[in-house]
Amino acid sequence: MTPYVLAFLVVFSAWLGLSAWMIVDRAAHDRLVADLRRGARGHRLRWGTVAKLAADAASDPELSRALVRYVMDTDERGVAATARDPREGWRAVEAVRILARAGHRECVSDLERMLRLGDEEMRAAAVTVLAEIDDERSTALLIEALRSGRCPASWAVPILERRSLPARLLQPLLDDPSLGVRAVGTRLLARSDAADATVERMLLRLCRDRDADVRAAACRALGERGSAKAVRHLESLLDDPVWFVRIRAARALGQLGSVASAAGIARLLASRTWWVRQAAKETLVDLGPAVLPQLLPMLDHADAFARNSCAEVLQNLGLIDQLLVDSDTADPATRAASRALLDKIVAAGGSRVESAVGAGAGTLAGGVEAAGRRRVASTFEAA
Amino acid sequence: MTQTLHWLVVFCLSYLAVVFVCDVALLAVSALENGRRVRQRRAESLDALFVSGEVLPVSVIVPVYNEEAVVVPVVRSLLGLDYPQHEVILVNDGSTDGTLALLEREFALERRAMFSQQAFSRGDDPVTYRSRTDPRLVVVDSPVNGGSKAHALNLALDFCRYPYVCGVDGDTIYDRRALIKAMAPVHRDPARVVGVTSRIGVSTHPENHADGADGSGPAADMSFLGAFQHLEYLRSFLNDRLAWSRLGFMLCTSGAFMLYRRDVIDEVGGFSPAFSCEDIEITFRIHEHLLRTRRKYRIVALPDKVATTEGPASAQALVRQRARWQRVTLEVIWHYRRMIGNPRYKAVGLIGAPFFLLSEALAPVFELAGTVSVALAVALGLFEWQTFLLFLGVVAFANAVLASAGIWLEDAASREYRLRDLARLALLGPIELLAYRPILAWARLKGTVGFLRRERSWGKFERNPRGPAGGGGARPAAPALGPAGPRLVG
Repeated sequence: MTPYVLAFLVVFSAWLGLSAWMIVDRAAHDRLVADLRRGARGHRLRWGTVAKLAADAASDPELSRALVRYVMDTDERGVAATARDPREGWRAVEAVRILARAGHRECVSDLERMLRLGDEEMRAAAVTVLAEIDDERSTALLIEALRSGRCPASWAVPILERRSLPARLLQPLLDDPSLGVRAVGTRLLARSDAADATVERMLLRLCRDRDADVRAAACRALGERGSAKAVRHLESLLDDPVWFVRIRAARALGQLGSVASAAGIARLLASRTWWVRQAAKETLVDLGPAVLPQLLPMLDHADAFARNSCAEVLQNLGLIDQLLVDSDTADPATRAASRALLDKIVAAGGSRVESAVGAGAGTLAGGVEAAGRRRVASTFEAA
Repeated sequence: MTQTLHWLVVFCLSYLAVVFVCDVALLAVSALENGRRVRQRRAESLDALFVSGEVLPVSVIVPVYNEEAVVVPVVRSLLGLDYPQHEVILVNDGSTDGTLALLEREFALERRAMFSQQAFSRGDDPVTYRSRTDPRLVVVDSPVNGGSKAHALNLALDFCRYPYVCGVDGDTIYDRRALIKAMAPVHRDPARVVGVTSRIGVSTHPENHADGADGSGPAADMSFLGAFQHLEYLRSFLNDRLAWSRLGFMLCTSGAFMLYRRDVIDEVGGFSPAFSCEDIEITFRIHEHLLRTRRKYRIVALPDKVATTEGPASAQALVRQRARWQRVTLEVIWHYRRMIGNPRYKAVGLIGAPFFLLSEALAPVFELAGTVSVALAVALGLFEWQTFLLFLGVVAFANAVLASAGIWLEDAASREYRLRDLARLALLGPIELLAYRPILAWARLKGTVGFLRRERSWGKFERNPRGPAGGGGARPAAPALGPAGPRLVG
């Protein structure tokens, strides 16, 4: 037998074996699933199948529930033992997930053990199982995982921010020496079960923290839990030396609906940082047309960024559309005033606003359309 | 002469053997990585996380050029992504067909002045639109074609408001959970994970394989070219890239789905229009920059299918597309040649780049030399016919083993194939060498010649025949669309 014949036989057998096994395995899987759907029992289930169908969040919920019941009826002790054994790796996580879905009382203890595993991905998976158990013990475990650095904030905060958090559990986060942990604790104060006034008092103190991340987090939380009392503090942070604190302060004022702060927010339209200007623009639009009196002076601002941004905000507030309609009314005074303001906005916004105004006139409904085109054309000529 | 020919044949066979051994080694690593990811996916409940407004928001950027055939279902799939906070920035890069008109009609676009960041697109003056029906959609219309996809991506970057950017293609339909899957590793380790890519499916009509499509159909395109491309994509993503990711040298985040942290993109200066294609280049550039500045980071490849892209339905179109891929591979390898074998660049320099050079860049040279030398050897009687046929059989079935392994890795994780499609795909493996590989070899050769001639054209293939544009879902076959321009997004 030449080496070529031998090599051919080896690769041919490998291909045939792999392909045949793949197809047989799949056929067996399909048959098993079909049987389980029919409610047949007595199958000797492989762990992979159990995990796939019972633990997998993406599998058919009805089948998954039925299989969880089946597994717990037939081998509860085995599943519990697998969940407890750290050498089982991912199988242990899958097992604890099955226990959690069955409402097993020991699963939180198993999850607590898993949060001490060296493998960060297994810890992260354990956190998502905890996310499905909404009680104080699981919340305490999540907060402790966050504080000890065993779970990143980006993984735990989306879970915690949907719960009401006992204030005493949050305190260790606020007292932590790590700035990152303190910032997260500050952010989560918005979900504290303490009285609003208490939470606000704490947040107002944290607004003066030396760390910018904490100040930004305090602004964010105040946007959700603050009162009129917070407005003055937030307004002072619109001048914070750190740009993302200014952004957070502006957005919080927007969340509180503080129209009176619009002038301060509008000042941010002249910021050198695009992100700050963008946040200010969005906040002003969220506050609505009531900000117009404080916003219009920005059309005359010395800074081109401020003028451009102001024109964009006015457009997004619907003022331009309104002016286009008003400048076509029969009343000469209204018409003249509308045209004058339109000209001013176009001058502030430059060619981009000018072309958008032209397009806006083009899309005005029915008989207004032709008149709109003529009107805008004359407006531009005048400009 | 005979002696030279003998050694040439031995040299080419040795190359084949080395590449095969590397492929098998990578397959072993990929199988481990795939197993881990599958178990992770089963054990985790991402739905518990990705319903919160506290998740890291993502800007999806999609450049399009003459995509009226598919643009509406593509944008619908992007707006339909299950993710609590994302926006879609679409750049219409000087399309000459009805792309913009279709978008205006389907998404009720209204013209809105927007003042962008102008970090990467200074001097451009695009027209901007926002959708009245879904304000998350912003359309940036560049009246003149910028000449490269990188230019359009840079333009889109300036309108992005979020700290993560996901570059996608205008001819690709996205699965609803694509962003959740891709952002999971980012949320697990936001400090280190700077980039994520995931598996892309391929079909001559991707809208037939979208989430909303009738689930009774095949999981893969079973047309002749479609099935071979499917096998090739499986091998590329599951046999290779998973291993690259595990070993720390993920060298190509696919242009159809590349998610990056925005600050990293800013640091490296955005996408480069100096190359025929931007995806491999930006991946190399990020590796180069972060390794040179000694930063800890990861670029992750995931096994989950996140999208189905449109593959060419004709051999001619396939050759054009693959020639471009080969050209950009050579451009990038040549540009970053200082990384090859350089210990400063760790696994990327010591394993990834040399392997890329060997298996991708130099493949056409060996393919040509091997074909010519073996043919000559047979003609001159150095190689017996029987031996030659056996040799072909060895290569064909060795190739088929890798193809079957790719199918198995996917089916074990998804169980989405119909049984008969599994069997059919497995049987296609052995004939791939003679039926499909010659097309790729020819394309690679053309690409290599193009590289040597310093060509820079995009080589976009014409969209496959469809019915009238405008909606989503499957459409009956219709006459081919008019010729697409020679440049830009494919």
